[in-house]
Amino acid sequence: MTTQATASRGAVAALARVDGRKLLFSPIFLSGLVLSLVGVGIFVQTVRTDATATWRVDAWTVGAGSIILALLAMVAANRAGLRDWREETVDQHEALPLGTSMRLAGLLGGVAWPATVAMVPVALAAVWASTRLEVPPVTTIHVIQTGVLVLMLGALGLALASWIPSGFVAPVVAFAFYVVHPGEYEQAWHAAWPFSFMSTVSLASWHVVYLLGLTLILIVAADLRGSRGRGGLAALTVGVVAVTVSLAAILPNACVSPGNCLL
Amino acid sequence: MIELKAVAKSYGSVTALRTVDLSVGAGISGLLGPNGAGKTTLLRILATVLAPDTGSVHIGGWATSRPAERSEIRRRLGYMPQEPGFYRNFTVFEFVDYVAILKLITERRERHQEVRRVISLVDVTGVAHQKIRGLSGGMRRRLAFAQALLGQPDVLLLDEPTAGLDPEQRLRFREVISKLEPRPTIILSTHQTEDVAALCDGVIVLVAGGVKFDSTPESLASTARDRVWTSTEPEEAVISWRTGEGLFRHIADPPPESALVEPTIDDAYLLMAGRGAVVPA
Repeated sequence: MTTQATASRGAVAALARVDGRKLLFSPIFLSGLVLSLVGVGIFVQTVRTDATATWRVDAWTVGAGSIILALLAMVAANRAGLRDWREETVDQHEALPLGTSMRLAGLLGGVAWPATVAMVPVALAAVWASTRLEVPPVTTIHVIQTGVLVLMLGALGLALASWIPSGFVAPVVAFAFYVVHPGEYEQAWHAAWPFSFMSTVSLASWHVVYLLGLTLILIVAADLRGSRGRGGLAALTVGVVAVTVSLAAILPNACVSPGNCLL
Repeated sequence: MIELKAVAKSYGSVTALRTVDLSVGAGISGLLGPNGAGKTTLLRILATVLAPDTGSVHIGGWATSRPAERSEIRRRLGYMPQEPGFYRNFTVFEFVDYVAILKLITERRERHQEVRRVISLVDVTGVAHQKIRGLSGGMRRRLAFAQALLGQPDVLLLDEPTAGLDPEQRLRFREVISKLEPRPTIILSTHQTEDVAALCDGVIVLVAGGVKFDSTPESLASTARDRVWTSTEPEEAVISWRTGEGLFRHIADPPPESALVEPTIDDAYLLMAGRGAVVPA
């Protein structure tokens, strides 16, 4: 049985490589990447042409681009999660030794690839801007936050695929996320919005913890059948604790007035 | 190798299998039966995709009902479903590679070697880097066969593998099956009695969810001995049809002085399964 467990872990890693590549080169994710780079391009153009440009005021296009990228990554992950349902391979893959939970773990590992790539445009913009503008140190956390946001939304895409097998749901959810996005953060609870970018290193770090907590909860939700054991309960507990503690740290201190958040 | 004891399965009020006891040893066993006889249900149970309502299934000594043992079975199993699905935006190589990972062949070089071996066996190497969505039905069928052959399974379950294949492809399929080394235990569900005659060491006839016959193809053919005759005029029989030579071939208890002919597996099967065995085109 140990051999089986070792082989399963190896298979999850191999699946993550295959699915990661597929997600990375999916037209949906690539469109998001292009839009994200357009956001960076607009920022670069502004900085080059406007002497009064600042990171805090003008880098919003970089943030908006990365949010669109993250939402499209969710749609791409959802499509990957629906693959067996869409192509009617559930039956034949059921007869194979790697179980559903492990396959889901592989897909989630695959989401790490676009999550990593999503950080690149924000990082490029920050590095380039630092040669001309004052870029606050919290930006490094914002770069990480972008990756974690993609990971969290990827897990949401997979959870949606597992609970509502339909190709329409994820695009509608992505659109709703973008439309409902509060924009100006005037109330403290807006800080709980996944897209809020905090203004201090401490708050931004807590927000990363918050997003990771949400990711864990969504992973458990995506695989409720496989998560019934101790591992699932532990993941859920860690997720709930991370979300609760991070919100307790963020809400009293963030976004009580516009400008406390980057976006 | 494969043991079924009192296996039954129903879908609501429809009984798919009723108390099936079966023991299948090494070699190739053909599974014949009319549509709705329970062949696919039986194969899905053996493939561990479906749990029986009652009874027990053991494959290679492992019970399909126990999760840990089920994993062991799945590692040693190749399954080609009746209607295989494919990731259409994957290439042939990518898809088989993906299935190989699910089959726990994790070491990359070994896996790629195995993928190349099986796609070469079923003769799809030429389209290995083409997207599946562009493949013909016959090609896809071969691809489904290729994924079932991954990892040299001890047990191979093939649900109508030759449906939709042209005669040359069917011959190629028979060739591949007969040359598999090491020889797995194969259950071949089919409507093609020629495949059974050409390939199988044993034959099981399933009718209305029950096993009606379980022996060799020769024994099956012999069950119709003295019950097949030809005539120049139509006659009353269980099953009767006009042959290409303009004669009428009949299967039933013949009238006196009939021109008896040597029965085939086809005749015996039709006699056993009755009109239900005549599968509409």
